[in-house]
Amino acid sequence: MKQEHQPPTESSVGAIGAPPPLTSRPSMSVFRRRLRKFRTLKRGYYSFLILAVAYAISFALPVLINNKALVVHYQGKYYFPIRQYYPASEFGMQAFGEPNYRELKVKLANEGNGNWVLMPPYPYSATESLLDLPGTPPHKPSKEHIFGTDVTGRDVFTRLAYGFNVSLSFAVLVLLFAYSFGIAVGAALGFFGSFVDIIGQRLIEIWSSLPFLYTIIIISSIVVPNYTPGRNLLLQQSFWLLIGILALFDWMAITYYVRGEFYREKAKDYVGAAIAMGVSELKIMFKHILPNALTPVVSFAPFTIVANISALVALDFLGFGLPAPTPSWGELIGEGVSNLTSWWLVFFPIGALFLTLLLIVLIGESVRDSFDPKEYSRLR
Amino acid sequence: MSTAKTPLLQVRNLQTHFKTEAGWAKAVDGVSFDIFPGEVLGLVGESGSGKSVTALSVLRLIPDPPGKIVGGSIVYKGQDLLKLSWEDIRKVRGNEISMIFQEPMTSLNPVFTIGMQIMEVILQHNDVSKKEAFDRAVRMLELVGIPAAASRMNDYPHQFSGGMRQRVMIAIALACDPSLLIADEPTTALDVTIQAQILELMLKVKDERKDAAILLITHNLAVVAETCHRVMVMYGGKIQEIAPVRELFKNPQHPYTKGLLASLPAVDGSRHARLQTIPGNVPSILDLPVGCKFVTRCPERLDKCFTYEPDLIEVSPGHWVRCVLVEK
Repeated sequence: MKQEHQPPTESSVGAIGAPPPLTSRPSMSVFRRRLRKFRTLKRGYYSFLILAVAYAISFALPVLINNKALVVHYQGKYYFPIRQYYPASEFGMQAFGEPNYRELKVKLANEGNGNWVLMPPYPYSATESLLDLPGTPPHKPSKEHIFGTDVTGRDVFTRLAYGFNVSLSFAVLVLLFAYSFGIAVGAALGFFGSFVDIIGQRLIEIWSSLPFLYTIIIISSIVVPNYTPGRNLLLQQSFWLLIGILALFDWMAITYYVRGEFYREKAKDYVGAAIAMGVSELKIMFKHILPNALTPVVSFAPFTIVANISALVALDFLGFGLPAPTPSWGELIGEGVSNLTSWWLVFFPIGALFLTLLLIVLIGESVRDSFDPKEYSRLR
Repeated sequence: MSTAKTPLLQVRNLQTHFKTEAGWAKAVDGVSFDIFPGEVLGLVGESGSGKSVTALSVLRLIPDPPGKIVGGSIVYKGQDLLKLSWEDIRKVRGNEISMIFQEPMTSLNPVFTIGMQIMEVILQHNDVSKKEAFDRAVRMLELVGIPAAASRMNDYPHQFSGGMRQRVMIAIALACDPSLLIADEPTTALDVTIQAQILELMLKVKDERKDAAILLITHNLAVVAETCHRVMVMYGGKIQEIAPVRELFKNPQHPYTKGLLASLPAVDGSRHARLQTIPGNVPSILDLPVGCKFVTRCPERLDKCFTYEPDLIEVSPGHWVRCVLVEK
């Protein structure tokens, strides 16, 4: 049977003509949308999670990987060697200085007086030479030392783990200083333009033609930074000196991109509107234009971190990096190269470096993709 | 009509020139006019006639270099804006004199919420708390007819349509209760139906503020007829005719004004009548005629027009014309 065409009833017309119900949809800024896009890019997002968790854990390393006991229960009293220094005599040991807590643990367990020692899960220090191991260092990977030891008998896994924190902290700090300065300079060049730009760019070109490595060699031969053993790396003078030197050579590249963005953005109507509303120049530069000019900054940052890690490795390798006992990847790779037959000295440090750099590059790639507006604007 | 009052803004012999490779371009060359409290003054002319540069010069928004205000005075409420320091002119911008631009799609910063952008101008010029600024911003959004204003404060510009964005721009421009609103082709980028709404809104908010005035820059004569009290016609960087709006439409004196009016399509005219045009193009401002600026396209020109340019001549009260034809 043929269905007859029904004229629209009054109620259905009302339904069509009625405005849609006001639903509260969340307002999303451009950055929030990009963040959401980033989360959908699984490769980069999981790389980011892995790296972020690993970096967060690396700050808890003194509790996880250390040769100092977490808790010692001795003769009814509790001791916390991880926080405080105790002489060996405190625990009835015949030794000078700090006790070897691994030995103490074995000793107290054998005595069976109800005294005990709680060691970290991986009870070795990054700067400790394990001279009591059988044979001569470097030792092959074993159950106790999963990545073996280096030429001076230090545990490679421990040094790699601490070195991870050092490398990443170093790279992020250099990035922070270099980019803050580079963005400010690029913003000024792009915003003011004309002779500020021309002179500024020439100065940057002169500066960037300074040979980085020679300058570092010269500086490190003149300035001999203090290294205070036992003090936190972040409080070491030499660490900050190296960050400063690297930052001095790292800020130029980003200025060009920020300068270009500022040139483009300052011509846009919203800047004109802000000027017409009486907003000051500084506020226009950093409040109005900068958030719109951050795309190259965010997309270059991961790759700059990669470069910074590599730079530190290179400097450590050449011996101009962080001072001697600091656990560093470059120094380990250097040892590996001079002891090629000890494969674990080559394989593990380079493997760790490769993995870290790979993760960061994957993050960088996804960040770049999530900042790419083309996906939405391409005509077909 | 309102000549008895003291003018709100008094522009005298304004000269704004731009440096180009071929020499100085006289984009605005000796423009003088008054804006009185409570009036809507129209400024019409073809592209390149110097309308926008005149408007930008009032707030000293001319990009320097290449532009430069080389002479004249702009007296606003007794003080010459051209003599103010940059610090002081910033206090005038957005506070005393506001500006609405042509492109609502790009005039809002994409990374900030609408609310933040309205609040910014309030906080810039007033010593109020953030809470007060927020409340005032919501009131401004309600005033310009944005539904559910409070909840839309947190929205970003990309969530608004063109007409809505222009309403937001008007809200920003009026947030500090300016006495003069300069609207540089505020409806050009909008749909025709939205155009009428926006113009109506501008007139409504002006009427709510006694003594506030609007300088409306447009090339749309229909808009002028509907909204303005007086009209200035600009050509070649000079004002060619100033008249009350009815007088101008009924009794245009300058050949250029006549041409502009004749080129409007008439609704009651014959379907087959050819649309009139003014022949030729606006001459390059680098190569303006020595005499009357309109001489190259004028259908009524005399020989002396090539070398001689008259001053503005008052033909009837409030109606001034720059043309040899009205010279006695």
